Amino acid sequence: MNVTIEEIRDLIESAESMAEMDTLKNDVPLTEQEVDSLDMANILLLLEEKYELKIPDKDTKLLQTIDGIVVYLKSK
Amino acid sequence: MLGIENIASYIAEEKKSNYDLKDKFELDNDFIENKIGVKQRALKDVGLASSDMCVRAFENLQKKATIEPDAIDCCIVVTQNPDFNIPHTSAVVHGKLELPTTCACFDISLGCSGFVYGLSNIIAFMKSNGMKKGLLFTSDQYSNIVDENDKNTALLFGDAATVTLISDDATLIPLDFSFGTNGKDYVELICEDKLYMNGRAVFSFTATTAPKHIKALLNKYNLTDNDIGKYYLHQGSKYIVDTIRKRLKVDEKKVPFDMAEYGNTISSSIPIILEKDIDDLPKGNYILSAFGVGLSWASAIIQKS
Repeated sequence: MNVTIEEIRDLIESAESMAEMDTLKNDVPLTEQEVDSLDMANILLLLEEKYELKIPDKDTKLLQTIDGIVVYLKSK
Repeated sequence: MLGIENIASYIAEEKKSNYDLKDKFELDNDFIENKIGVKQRALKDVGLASSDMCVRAFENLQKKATIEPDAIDCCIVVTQNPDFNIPHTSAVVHGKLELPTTCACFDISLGCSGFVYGLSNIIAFMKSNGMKKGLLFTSDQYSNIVDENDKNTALLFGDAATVTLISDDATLIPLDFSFGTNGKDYVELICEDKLYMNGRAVFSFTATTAPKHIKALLNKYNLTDNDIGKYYLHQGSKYIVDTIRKRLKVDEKKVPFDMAEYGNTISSSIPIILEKDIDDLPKGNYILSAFGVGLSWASAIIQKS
């Protein structure tokens, strides 16, 4: 699957979390950057809807960073 | 035509602050106020059963409407926290309110979608049996089943009951109902010993199902957002109410949020808000939509004429 860092950052921004997009780091867990558990649930749902896939609960540990999300989606 | 004549509620008096749990669950004020949306939870007295809360709601109804118990033809209780496994809680309520022996009683075992299901049930039952006055109760006490160490549930729920008087002298009349169930995912919100909720699964289910369900009901009658006065959504959390509103692209003023001072009261959440609005609603169409344990959902269009 083709996916870019920019697409994922745009998707995270659309989730309207408290994260500062200007300083949001790609290699640091989102939950350490003002993205709380409810925002993460929303981001995972938005990913499922945009990329038309089901993300099992067991896979969510692989999607904690923006880099991790890109790697995961590229593997699909 | 049968519909809602009046509503009253009982919200447990004791409140427990979620701010006191900030350290325990590593919370900040934004999460409490703008995500969960519950500042404090209503907790019933130990020993107060579902039927007792129904009685208190009924006593509050009597303060604002003349109710002759002998005129009640049916009494339905929506609860998943019954007084006993056997008998049904509606029979216990019947006894405590000294309703007539001609009064039909049964329970409905549903959670958050229960009020909308119950409203359809009681009106259909009364119509088909020529009944004039009925009482629809909702009553749940999640304080009995919540694990206080579970962040997913410990911050959310409050204890409450409501009673809705159904009669021909109605203020709000349902136009139509729509229902749904996804029983394959029942394990995502379940109580075996204590309540378990897969927050992500319940959020995804609600955020995807509720907006589509409401839109389908509107489309059935060629209604648009302009035709709807307000959307009364089950108060699952502020985040879920906000998410559904945003997905529907509806103005914030049209979607009441009212759980901050008492919590998610399960099937009582919609009638608690309706009670506050019922006397002041202008003529028009209103949406009820509720979703939760089952997984179950139900929506209705109701009309004020």
